[in-house]
Amino acid sequence: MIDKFKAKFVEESMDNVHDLEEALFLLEKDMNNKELIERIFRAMHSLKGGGAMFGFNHLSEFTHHLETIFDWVRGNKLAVSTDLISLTFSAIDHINHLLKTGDLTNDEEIADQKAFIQRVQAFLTLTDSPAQKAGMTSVEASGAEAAIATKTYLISFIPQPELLQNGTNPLYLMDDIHALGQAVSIAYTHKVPSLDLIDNTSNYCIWQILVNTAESVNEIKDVFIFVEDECELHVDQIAETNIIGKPEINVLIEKALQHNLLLTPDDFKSGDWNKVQTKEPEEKKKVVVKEHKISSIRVTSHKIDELVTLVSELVTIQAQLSLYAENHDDPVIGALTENIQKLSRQLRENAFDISLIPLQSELMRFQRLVRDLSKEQNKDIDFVIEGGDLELDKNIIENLTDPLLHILRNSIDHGIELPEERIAKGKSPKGTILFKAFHSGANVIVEISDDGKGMDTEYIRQKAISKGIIEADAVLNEKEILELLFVSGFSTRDTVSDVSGRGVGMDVVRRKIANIRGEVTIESQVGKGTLISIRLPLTLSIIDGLLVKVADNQYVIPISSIDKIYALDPAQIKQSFNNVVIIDKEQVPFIDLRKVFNEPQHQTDIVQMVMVKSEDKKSGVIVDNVVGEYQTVVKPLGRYLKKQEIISGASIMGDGTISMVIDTSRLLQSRKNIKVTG
Amino acid sequence: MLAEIKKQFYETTVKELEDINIKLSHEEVPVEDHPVLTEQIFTLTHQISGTGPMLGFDGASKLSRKLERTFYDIRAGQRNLTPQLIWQTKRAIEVLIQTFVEENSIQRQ
Amino acid sequence: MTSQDLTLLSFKIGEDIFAVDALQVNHILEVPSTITAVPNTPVFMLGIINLHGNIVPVVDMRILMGNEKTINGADTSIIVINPNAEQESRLGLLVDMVKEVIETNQSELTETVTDGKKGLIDTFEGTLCINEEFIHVIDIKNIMEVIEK
Repeated sequence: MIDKFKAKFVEESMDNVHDLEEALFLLEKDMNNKELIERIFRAMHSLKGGGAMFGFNHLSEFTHHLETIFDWVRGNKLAVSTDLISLTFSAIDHINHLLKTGDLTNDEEIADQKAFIQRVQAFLTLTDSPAQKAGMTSVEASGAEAAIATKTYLISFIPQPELLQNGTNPLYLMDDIHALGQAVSIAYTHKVPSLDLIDNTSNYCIWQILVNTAESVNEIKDVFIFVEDECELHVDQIAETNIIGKPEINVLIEKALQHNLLLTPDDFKSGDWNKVQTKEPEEKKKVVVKEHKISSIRVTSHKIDELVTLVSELVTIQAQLSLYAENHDDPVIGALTENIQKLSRQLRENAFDISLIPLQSELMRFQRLVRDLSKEQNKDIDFVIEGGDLELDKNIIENLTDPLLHILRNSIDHGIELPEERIAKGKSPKGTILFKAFHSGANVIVEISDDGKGMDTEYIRQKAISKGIIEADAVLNEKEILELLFVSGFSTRDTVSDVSGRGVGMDVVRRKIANIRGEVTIESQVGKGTLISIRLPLTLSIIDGLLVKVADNQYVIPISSIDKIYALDPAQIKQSFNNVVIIDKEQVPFIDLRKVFNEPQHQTDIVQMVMVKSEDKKSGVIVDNVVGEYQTVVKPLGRYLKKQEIISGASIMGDGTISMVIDTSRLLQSRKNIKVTG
Repeated sequence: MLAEIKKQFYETTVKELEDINIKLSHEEVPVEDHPVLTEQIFTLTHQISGTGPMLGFDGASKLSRKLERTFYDIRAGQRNLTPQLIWQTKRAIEVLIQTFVEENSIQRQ
Repeated sequence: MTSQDLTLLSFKIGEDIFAVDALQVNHILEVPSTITAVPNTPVFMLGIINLHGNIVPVVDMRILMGNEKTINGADTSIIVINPNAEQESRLGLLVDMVKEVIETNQSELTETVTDGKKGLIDTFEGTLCINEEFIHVIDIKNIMEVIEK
């Protein structure tokens, strides 16, 4: 149970960290923004409180110091500086680490954290006020306390369910205890009922806190003064010295959590820490975690994947059912099938909607990369984001991040010039990288453009010649030259920089994007900049397709790319020397799938031509005949058929046979290639 | 008429609570100010506890009664106004203000 | 005495006996009525089959091993291997006949002597000699490389 809450805490904290990072970025641009400072302070505060509550003690300790800093900033006792922002950025990395790993166990890491905290504290020594909170004499668990006699207390805080109803936030209470000295809190959540029984306004948690402090019992009890009526509270001295962190104590805590048995002062009586007495837990009332208005719920991505898979299976089975209904002339089954088809279509749409997540979630990493790299290389870059709220299939986003990071790195490393260089060229010293995402039909386009030096096509051409990729006398237009960047093994840099070489890995970028059925194109102008555009599908696993027959096989063409369907006489195709047919007095280029797939020529009286469009290209695709419209689950072909570019996957039909899914943009591209090379 | 009284009570009380909150926010509240502050908090919370329920501020009244009781003890010399207590009082007053604001907005709907 | 640390599944291609690591074998199937041919693939790539709702490509081991005759008989089977336990690495190997499971030791393997290169497969894990019969243990990694090439 506690693990479940911990996981939830970690998830929520990630959001907090995310928010923190975002606020920090904004603060960097507007250092006096009170609202942002408050936001950062709040985020730190929640991390600290939550950390203490869920046993992330190192996290809690660490964020406590940062919170103090931002408390000072908020009280105008400390000014925001670039140093402070940089420190906070690295602190965020550390917080992320702590959230992922929990309390540190490695001595080296613990020492690192100490050193880090000292760096944080260095900011505080600039001013002389020692108090961290309004007038509180609090003792921190740092070296200074050795001189003061501290004792260790066991606090048992057993709130009644009504605790939360008059605005009490247990987090604050935990916080205040932690402010008294070194403390470890233990949260018992075994009284928390299953989700459907949880009353948002009730508290179901019980806490025990071990605190080492110089304060008296009364002082400790004062913390709980205004919740006295709503809780059962025990404060017992358990040791004359600081015993927190001792292995024996940790074992005790572990055991208590395991058995959901509250610790009693007796447990700490002798030096023999291992002697844990099993004692009936006191009758406690139910409780917790104040949930806010539930307008959204969190679900693990794994559950969503499962849902999508199940829906996909359902769609497949439904197709089988439809087939059965067609072959059996039973009106009842026919009607039922139709209804099921409607429902599963809706269900499918819903499931996919759920699996979409906003691009926003990844943008922070990009911002961070731009910030860090440009600082490192002394470049001044304005990173502008448009359309960050656009939503995409989470599997697409997952696979998109790496290529995008790579493209951004390229822009920073080799696109944007140093400020002096830019001034010499008559540009603004500050470069701009524009990240833009928008919808275009059934696709999403992500563009990354920079106003840097652009790409020298002549240089690329020479390079390609020296690499033996093209012949010395090859005549290529600009677009074709830029395409060379995607050829495997091409690199415009002999020495690859530690970050990335321009062009290095663009083949990998294209491959990765292709894996998620996307396309990448480059446009560039020397001196002006570069634009990389990525076209992506909205979702990966299910498509609405047109089932067509070519020779012995069946293929699926995605409906989204289909324009019209015509019937043609095969003679018309045979007569055409340049693969163009005339329809409605217009010349229409076509691709004969039989030719593309190396199948024997058409023997039938009539063939059908499906008009397909992709990007700016449009072409007819000749098939034997169109079978019908199908909704299909696309399955990957696996690693061995990766080279099959025109076929992006396969789909299992209702009768168990397989049809292959055609990647229309690749198909159209292949025609262009034929033209160029032929 | 009642609405008018309520509005006035709400406004003056919240203002006074905020006033106290600011005093409590100071780095350290000078000991010589303690008696005055204690008196001010006691009087105000006593008022809220008395008048609040009548005007529909039930939650706020309940909370203020706790403060009232505590500060009654301090006034009577039976309890010390420790720094911790000042801190908790500040917390409680913040919650009190929030409760007031919430209850006021609910009533207006 | 050492424990048996190698389990192999042996099969026949023509008159030769080969084997693969049995731990990597997922299924043994009869040849289905249709194997959907994927256009523009090498001859050894027979096509794809539907294995419990997933797509699995099938290669003809007889062609990979350089055998001329590739006629399916009653014993022709497909051994589905699953290297690295990844769905996308699943592969069907069409063989003339599946023989048996052999428990042996890694130490029993001797270097495979190849009599010139006949097929596309050029490396083996080693050769085992049982009852005067030579069993060549196939290097799955090598097969994967050859097919992916």
